[in-house]
Amino acid sequence: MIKVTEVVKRFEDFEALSKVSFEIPKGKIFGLVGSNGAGKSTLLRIMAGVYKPNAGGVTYDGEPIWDNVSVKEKLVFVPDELYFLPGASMNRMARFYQNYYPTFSMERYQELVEQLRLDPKRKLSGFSKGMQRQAATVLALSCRPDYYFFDETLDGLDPVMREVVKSIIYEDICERNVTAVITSHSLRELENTCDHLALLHKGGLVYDYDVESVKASQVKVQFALSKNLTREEMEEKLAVSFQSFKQEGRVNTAIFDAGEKDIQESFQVLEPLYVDVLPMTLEELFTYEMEALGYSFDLESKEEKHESSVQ
Amino acid sequence: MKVPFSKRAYREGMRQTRVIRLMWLTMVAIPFLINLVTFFDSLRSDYKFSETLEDDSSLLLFGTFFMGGLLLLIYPVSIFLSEWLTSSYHRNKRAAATMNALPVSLKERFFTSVCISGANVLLITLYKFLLEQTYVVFACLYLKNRGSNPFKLYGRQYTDTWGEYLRSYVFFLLVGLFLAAFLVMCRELSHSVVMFIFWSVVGVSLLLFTVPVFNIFLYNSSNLIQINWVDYSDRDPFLSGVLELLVWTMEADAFHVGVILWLLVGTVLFLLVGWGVNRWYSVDYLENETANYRVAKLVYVVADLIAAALTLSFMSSAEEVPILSVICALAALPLVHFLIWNLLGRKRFLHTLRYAFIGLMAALILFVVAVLVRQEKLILPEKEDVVAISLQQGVAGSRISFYVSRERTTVNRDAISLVYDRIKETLKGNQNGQKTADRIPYYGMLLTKKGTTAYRFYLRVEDLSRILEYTKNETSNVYEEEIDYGYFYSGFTKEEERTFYEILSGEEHRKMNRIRLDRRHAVTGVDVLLNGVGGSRIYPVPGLSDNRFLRLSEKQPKSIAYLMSIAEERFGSKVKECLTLYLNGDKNAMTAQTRLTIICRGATSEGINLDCSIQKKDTALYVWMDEEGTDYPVSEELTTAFFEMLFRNCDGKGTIEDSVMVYVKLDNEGNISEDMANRWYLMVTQSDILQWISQLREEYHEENIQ
Repeated sequence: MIKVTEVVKRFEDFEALSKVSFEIPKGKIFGLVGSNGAGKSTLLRIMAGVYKPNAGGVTYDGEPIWDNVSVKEKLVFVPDELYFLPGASMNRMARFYQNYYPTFSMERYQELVEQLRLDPKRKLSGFSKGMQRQAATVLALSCRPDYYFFDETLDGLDPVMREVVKSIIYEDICERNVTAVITSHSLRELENTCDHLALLHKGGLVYDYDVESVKASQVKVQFALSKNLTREEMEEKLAVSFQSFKQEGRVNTAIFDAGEKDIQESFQVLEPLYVDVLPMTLEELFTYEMEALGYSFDLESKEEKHESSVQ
Repeated sequence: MKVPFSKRAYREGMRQTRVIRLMWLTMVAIPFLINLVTFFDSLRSDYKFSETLEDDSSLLLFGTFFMGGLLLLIYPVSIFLSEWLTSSYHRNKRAAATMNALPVSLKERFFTSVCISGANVLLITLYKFLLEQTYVVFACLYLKNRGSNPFKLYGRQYTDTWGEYLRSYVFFLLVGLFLAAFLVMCRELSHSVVMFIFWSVVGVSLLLFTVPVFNIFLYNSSNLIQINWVDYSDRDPFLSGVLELLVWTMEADAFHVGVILWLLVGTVLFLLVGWGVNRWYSVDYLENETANYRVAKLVYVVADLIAAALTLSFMSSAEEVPILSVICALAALPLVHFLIWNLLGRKRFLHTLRYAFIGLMAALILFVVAVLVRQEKLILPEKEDVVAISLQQGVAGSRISFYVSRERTTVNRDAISLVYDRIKETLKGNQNGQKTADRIPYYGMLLTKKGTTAYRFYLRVEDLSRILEYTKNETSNVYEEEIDYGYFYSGFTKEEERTFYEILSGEEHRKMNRIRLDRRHAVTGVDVLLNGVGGSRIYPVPGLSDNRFLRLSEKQPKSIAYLMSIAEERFGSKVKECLTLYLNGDKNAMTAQTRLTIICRGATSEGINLDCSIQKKDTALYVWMDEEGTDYPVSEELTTAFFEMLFRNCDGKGTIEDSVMVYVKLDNEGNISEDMANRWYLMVTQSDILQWISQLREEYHEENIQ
């Protein structure tokens, strides 16, 4: 189990992380999401032992990670900005990692290289960005550690390859029942894979929840009413509090904590013309949560401004 | 963040402005082209360019330009190489993010960083060695075309043959490759503590062995302490050997001390910086490139400057190296360092320019200091501070070399004063002076309590008689040390010399073995022969150095005939007769004369040079007269005769025309002394010497003397 305890990280006057605490049970896929500059990469680097926290700490089954070779041997960190030895090929990097990781599997490496059709003798500097990501992933998976840390690893991959790499990563994780921490801006990437999700904002952990339960707890309803009601009137009649509400003509969209209510039935009090319960994506959840925290881009107004300037 | 030292940043830096390009063009291309032209020009047989580089200062300029140009080209390469080698550890953000996550403890990473930093220093130092040697090659070419010894610069024998030179060059290249190979290996295996140990061993070994080995290969080691391995093998061979080697290295000369200091100080400072940089970069620096980075840079540069300054201070005391070139090269290092670092590492041009300017100023100051240090040696000391002089003259007869003792200055102050005035006169008018009919070029050394400085100046013909007159009554005050400054004149004209070599190259001749401990072996043959011919020693004989004299025999009839023709032309039939006797195998005719040097050494204007050795062991006087260095006891009677002869001539009977200069090693009690510092010059008439030799011969059967 990974235990992050009140981790604080400062860079001179700037506090990148502020008392972040959470736990990741073994065998879980942990998604770390947050806005740009929220501290995701910093947290991941602290968890991987790259940075030393100013306060707090990270332990793996009770052992601290900082400057602990035996723990580090159990984890592999794939950073957002990849680095390979100058002029190195995949084969050379494989030998390089083999030196460091006792669990490194050459067979697995060969298998993955063939699966992704990468040229292991070619210089990595000649690879495209996407291919470099694949190579880094292959090398990381070949180390066969107990813990993976992927920092926006799927960025830069084309949709097809993203799915391929994703499936390879998740298959490996599931097969070996290892723990993975994945950061991404794209919640869609994490939606169907992560067991657990943490939301970072301004260096602090805002939410830390189980994906399935949160998806089940939140509900998104699209409905149209025969008469005009304000948001407050609707909330009063439904006896709920909308986390998000949008009105476009007569069509309303609301997100709220449904509890165990029957949505269709409870909405009858509003005498709707129609009621539709829509699937809730993590991205929507993330967006609404961030909006609630005051982090939002006023895209509509920007678009309007843009359109008017074009006209 | 712009990654410092990256190729991309380098390119961007180079593109930033035309000023930079112009600067680089000026600093790199022009000197390099000049030297390239010089080089190719020097290969031509007529070699016109050499006419413009006739004096020593031009040679220094030549070397400095070349070395500076080459440094500016190669040093960036070494920087890139070191970047390439170290980037995986601490020099950029991406690398650190990946590498710091690897299962390597901070301690191991620190040691690795330290090892790599140290290795970088060695690598860069190696480059410097190679540079110096490249410089020497060109300088040798230059000298060769000047008709001087191509392997000897300012008294320092770099090597004897091109083959040896190339061998040493290849050796160093191999060392470089070896080092580079291990560095590459180190990148992958650096996590291992074993590698640290390995590197320590390699580093120390290189440190200990590189310079001496370099010395063995490239320098005439007559000035070095010879290691007597046999003596140590009975005790603790390893420890004694290492200690001896260390002593040998340190006692080599100031130049090597400077190099070693550079290595040691540079390494320590680099390690400290490596530690600092590693610490900053690996932990907190990744997201914060401001303050720490600048401090690290500053420390790095300061370290460079300190190392260079310390090295300079030591090197400035070396008298036999092309010191100005070395100083210029060293002074250029911080400058280049500044420039490269800042050109590559800064985001903004103004920053770059500012740092470059600071670097330029710092290097300039260093350079000026270095030049002043050099200049100080050219400035005459106060006359009162001069406690002794030494003169070397090499036009007619052999050189006259002596010191005026420090102890009895009352009479010899006149001699000192005279020489001092002549030097001053020469320096005042024209440092190199102009040869006139009544002026003879001399090399003189003025000894002060602070040190010795050599000058080239002109002495009037009558001055020598006056000096000898001043000193004849104080003969016991005049002693000689065999300090060879390499300032020799050939008695040949350039044309004669060339002809001699051509003839010699067409004949079989063997290279004498290196004689280090017992130079007596070398005191026969052409050295004497040529002294007799009227010139001083001729050095630029391929394969020979000052203690590898060429011995001509019946196997070189043409060369001998040529020399004799010159001898006859210059000095008449007497010399020819003498030489002929010798060359015809009547060694006694010549040997007795030619082998009387260690105690009796000198030359008359008629070209007779005497070489032999007389040593006093216990109470008896021994004479060395054969090539194996066997000592023969001399009877008391003969000893007495000898001393009588010497003291008789101490009365000043001898003159330069009819006397030979003889020096005797005497200790304070009047015994023959082994101490070089107690050699006394005496003026002895030629006839006296010959008479004494004949007495000596009577005491021994000829077979014993052979």
